[in-house]
Amino acid sequence: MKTLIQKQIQVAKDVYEFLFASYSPKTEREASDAVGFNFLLHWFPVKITKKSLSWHYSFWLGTISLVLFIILSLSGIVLIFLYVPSVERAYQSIKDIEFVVSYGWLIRRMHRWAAHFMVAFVFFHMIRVFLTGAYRSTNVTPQGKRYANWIIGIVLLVLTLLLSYTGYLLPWDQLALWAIVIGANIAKATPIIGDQVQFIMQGGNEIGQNTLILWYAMHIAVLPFIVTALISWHMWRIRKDGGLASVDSLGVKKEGGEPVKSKTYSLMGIAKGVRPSISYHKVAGETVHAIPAVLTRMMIVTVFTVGFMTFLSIFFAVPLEEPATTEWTPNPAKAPWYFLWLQELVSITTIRVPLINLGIFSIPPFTINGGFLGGAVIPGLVVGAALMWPQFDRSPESAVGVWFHKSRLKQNIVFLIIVLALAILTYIGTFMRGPNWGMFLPWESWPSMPVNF
Amino acid sequence: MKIKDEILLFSSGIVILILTFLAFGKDGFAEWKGVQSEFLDIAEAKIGEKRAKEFQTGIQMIWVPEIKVVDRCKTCHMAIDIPGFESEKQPFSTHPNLEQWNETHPFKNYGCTTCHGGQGFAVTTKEAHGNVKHWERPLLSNDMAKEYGFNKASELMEVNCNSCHRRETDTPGMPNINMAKKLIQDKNCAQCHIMDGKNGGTLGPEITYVGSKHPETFGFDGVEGKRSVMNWHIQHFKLPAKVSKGSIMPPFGFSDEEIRALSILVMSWRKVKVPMEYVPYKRD
Repeated sequence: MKTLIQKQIQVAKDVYEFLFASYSPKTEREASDAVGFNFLLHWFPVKITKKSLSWHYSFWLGTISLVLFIILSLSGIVLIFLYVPSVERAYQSIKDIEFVVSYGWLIRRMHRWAAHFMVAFVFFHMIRVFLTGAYRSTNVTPQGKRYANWIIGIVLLVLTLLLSYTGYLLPWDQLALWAIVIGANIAKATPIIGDQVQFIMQGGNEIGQNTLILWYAMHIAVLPFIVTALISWHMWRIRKDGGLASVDSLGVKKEGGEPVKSKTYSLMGIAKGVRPSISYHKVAGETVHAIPAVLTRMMIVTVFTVGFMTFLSIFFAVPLEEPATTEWTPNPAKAPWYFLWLQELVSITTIRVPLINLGIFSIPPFTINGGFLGGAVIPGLVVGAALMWPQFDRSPESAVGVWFHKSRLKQNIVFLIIVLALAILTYIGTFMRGPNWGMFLPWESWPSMPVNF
Repeated sequence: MKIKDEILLFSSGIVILILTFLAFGKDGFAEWKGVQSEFLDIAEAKIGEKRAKEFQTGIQMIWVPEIKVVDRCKTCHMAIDIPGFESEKQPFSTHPNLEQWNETHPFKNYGCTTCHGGQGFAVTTKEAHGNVKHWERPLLSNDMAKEYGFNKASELMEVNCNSCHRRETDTPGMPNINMAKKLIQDKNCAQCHIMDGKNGGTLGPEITYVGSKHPETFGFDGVEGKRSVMNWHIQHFKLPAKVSKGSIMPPFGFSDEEIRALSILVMSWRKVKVPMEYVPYKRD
């Protein structure tokens, strides 16, 4: 009897230990092993500089984007079971998710809010990387290829926009349909291949079931997996590049001087040069064990991000307009907000030149094709410039990993002007364009939309 | 730094816990659940505990795929098809003239929104009654009817009746539409307009499906007062050229009553598919 009780107490102790006990390593070696013991933790470094860990260097924007992507994936999996990708039933199935599925409203709203925020945070992440000059490797991290990671990042930004845009169509309401009509018409303005691009985007000659199933398949089956693969690559590259660029700004430890041969983290990677061991410098900054320091902060960021999305979803509804119809156009018809800078550019650069009378002969009225300029040339230039920029960055290596380094003043100003222009155009397109694409200042109210009764 | 992080982690956990409770609350204490328990109390007092228990709770729905009706109105209007609750307030009362309606338009075949309007999908009062943005067919209420000079909602509801009764000339219970149909004959509107998709003059626009025209496609520059399609038609029948610039349609000098009737008639000309068993037919 006594032994049985003792046994039960032991079981209870084991369970308690399993649930609550913390691991207190006795030696540095034991602390380092934490990374290797757990599959989920193996992608952390053993040690990390305090600067990389700080809140105000990276603002953890990449982590936030990743958490948003995970929220989107999980809520998206639930929505796949509830949503019907057919033009007859898509709209109704969204109404059902909103009104009768338990917590359906919460899941749909979280999916939509997280999608908007992911677009924004991936963009903020890019701004951070640019302003800290973190797209370059220095002689502190000689085997790094941060430029490659910058390119992966730009591709991820474009894919994030595509994911968001393909999801925008799925409710099959007026908001969705006309956003796609606008997109397809802008694409149509591309010279020579315009018609083909439009055909591909619509999945046929006109928007309908073909379009819906095409975008649905892209949204749930193609793009998420490409993005998952690229995110993994992106994260893996951070390790291969020697961590965040803030490490480079700390400089190399003076004593010792020469690079040290190491075996610690090259086994799984294909590091250039000596392998399986690689050589590295000891960094000057103060370091801590990544477990638990990074893990704790990641959990904080995760929980706060999930919390904020939940908060938004509880208190703020997401739109679902009238069922899609091509019989009438909503006024104003708008693309999703992250493409409104483009729509704004298209509307600004579309100029109807009236008849010009020069006495002897006259030039008939014509229209300057804004779709081509605002829809193809300018966004192409913006993305192209972003991809090429690191090659033309001639600032000293000491500028890498430092916010607003003096030597990068000019390029930072140029970059911020472009960002500001995008932000202003987006703001105008979102909040100041009312019916008939008329300009309304923030304090002016829009005319009320007519109703049946 | 370590301790600060742990405090942050702990507080973020508290935040998510609170939010979880809020989400539970919002879903678990949905408006209709309160309405149902209130109704069950009333029913218990009225017909006894045993019979009150027979009411099914949870979301109740009339689903008629043939005419695309998904009406969850019964979730709150629980006694709508149960006699004996005539004296109760809305949403707890029985449908007026239940027996007659059950015979001519059984709820299980017609749903609620087919005649009354409103958003059948929704299960909150505001959204179900359809007085929300992006829902073009709101519940036709007494207040709304009075706004346009009718006496009660049923007169305004003739606009919905006529979806199926369009080809009839004299339908019991539809005095306004009947009057308007007679006016259409008397004034010979077909002289200028195509109204049945086939025959008619071409001086004026075709108006076979003018009831499906979206409010945003009407021009409201010449319309005084509320920007509604009903108002547009009322003022258009009064002075066509004032509302529709350049129109050659003459003012016919209709009375206010006739104008109201004509307005709901043209608004009833919606593009709907009526299954054969819903087409009214009288054997001679």
